[in-house]
Amino acid sequence: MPPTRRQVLEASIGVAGAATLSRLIPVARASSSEPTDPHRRFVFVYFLGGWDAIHCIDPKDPSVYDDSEATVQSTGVQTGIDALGLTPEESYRETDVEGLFLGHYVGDELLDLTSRMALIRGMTVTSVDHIAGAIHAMTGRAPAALQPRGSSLGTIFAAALGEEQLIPNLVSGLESYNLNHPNFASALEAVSYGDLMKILGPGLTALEPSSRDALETFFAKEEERLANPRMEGILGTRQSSQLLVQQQIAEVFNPANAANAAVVGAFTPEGGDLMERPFMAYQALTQGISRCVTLRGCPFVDTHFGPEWRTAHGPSLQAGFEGIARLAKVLADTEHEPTGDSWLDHTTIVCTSEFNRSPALNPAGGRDHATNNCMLLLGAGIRGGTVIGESAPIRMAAQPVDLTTGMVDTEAGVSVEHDNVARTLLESIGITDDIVDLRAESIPALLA
Amino acid sequence: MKRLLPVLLAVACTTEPDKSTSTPSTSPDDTDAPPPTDAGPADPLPADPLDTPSVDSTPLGEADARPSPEETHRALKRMSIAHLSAAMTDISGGIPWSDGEELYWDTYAETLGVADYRTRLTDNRAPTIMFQKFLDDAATHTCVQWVAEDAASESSRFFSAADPLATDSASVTANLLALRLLIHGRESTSDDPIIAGYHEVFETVLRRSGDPIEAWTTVCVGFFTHPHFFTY
Repeated sequence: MPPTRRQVLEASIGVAGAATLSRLIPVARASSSEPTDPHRRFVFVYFLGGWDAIHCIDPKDPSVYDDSEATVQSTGVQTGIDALGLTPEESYRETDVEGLFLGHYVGDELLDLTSRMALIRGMTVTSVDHIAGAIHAMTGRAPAALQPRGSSLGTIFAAALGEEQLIPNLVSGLESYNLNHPNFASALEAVSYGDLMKILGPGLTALEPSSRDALETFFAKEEERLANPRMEGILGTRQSSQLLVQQQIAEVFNPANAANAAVVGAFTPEGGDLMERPFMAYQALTQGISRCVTLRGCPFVDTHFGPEWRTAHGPSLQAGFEGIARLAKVLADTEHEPTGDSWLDHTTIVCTSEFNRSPALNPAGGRDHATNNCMLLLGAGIRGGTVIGESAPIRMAAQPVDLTTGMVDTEAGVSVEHDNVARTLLESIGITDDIVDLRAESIPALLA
Repeated sequence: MKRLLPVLLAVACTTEPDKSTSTPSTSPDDTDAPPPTDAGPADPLPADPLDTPSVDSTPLGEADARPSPEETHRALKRMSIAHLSAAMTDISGGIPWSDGEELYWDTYAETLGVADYRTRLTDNRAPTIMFQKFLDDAATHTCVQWVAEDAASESSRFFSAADPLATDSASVTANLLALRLLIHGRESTSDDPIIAGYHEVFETVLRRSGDPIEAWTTVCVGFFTHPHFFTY
């Protein structure tokens, strides 16, 4: 296992540099309560473009929603299973948990994990714009127009859980925000797996090691000489980028590395290709490199038109869910040495989109944007086999929920948003203060 | 610019000890003044502070007349990727970060936070780890080629102030000052700490490798990856 970021920095930048580093820590902790779960890891997965909930985690019973003209007119819900070539049984799948049905495009492996899984249905959203919705989902706070008003959840949790890892906050395929958290919690963002390898690996042209040493010594002195916080931050980040190369972290993510053969095998379906992002997340977490990993679950899928919705959307979602299910299973099969539990017992996986697609097909045969949403949470801290809330029978509208029982309560319930989930996740690691000003209640029914 | 002014305790208004804690008086015409209470005798009238000024001319040292720019910590921004790519190519006399077919700044644009106006509306202008890594890669690629080509050229931009193989301190310093102006756009003097720092890099690499071209290449990377180049 690679040394921690703190160990490497202290060893390489000396006492003065370490003192600089330590000054950053109180920024995150001065105004927050401490997490009580020191081992927790997070994986955030975003299926951007708006997902078709009917065919993944909020399916509708085709014996009720039969797609007849009368039913569609009265309920506003159209499953479209005929257009997709699905049978009723394929589109509405029973699981081991009573009352917990899943759609076709979650794949098969996720069905084995329902006892560790919680679903939130009938959530409300504040925007049907892709970017605004995505920012809300990623930060837990509605943006100001298209400007985030809070840091990404990966940043928040990396800051709260400390800087022991070399890359506390790893992001693949998405944007990330750090508005007011320390530098160490800023994401290392790589659009693709290939770009990550380029960031972590040596460049095409490299300086001689002795020349590199001379250069790094110069910059260490410059950091000391240009002593102001801004320059320290810039030069500190520069140093981190070089440390990642020197520590050969790329080898941890290199599928061709013989040491990774077993893991590569676990993330390669029979006859398929390596599931790169789930593999990357697994390595980052279990090799002690990252606290939080944020992934794009699937390519951007905005399927307003029939052909795309029929052919591309479902398979794209399915590939994403299959990757998540595989990640969860391999984590469940991996011993977490410090405690003897499994890694899934210490990892929370959160999947969502910016909003659902509309419950009825539009005249173009696709689906538009809906004003509701849903989420899937899995693993550590989550009450498994739980469904919280329910989309309404008419147009799958959002409905208020009793946050303690998780049942729909149209009289005194609360409309669940990403804000509530973010607050709940903070509580799941013992942070009960509203450290990021979410101003939202947590959902006790979601917590194990 | 930092200006230091001698600070004198020019005027210290002192009064007699029994008057120093007096409170302001209210004149008989102050109709809003609260009525006297019978809690005790009224405070004595204060002395007018201008009545008995005293001057103490003891020097107390020096202080800044206004904060120096280094202490204000303006939020620096880095160049955009397009700006950076153009600047490096221009400074080096036309050497792009490329394998001859693809421009790597474009290849890694998304990871470098360049707005695509679909999912990202604004450029990420933070000097992130990704940015610094790719900047280092680009600088190394550019400098290896630039220094090697200019060392063999008669009209060299890199070696505008010294012979490529000259290793005496005066020549090296002269070229460092020229590079500082060319790459950072800042004029320096030979006793500027940053020039001394680059000089040390040159000397160290030269001592280890015996190759002045390798030493200048390392210095070149140091210039391009310094925040004075890519932030403003």
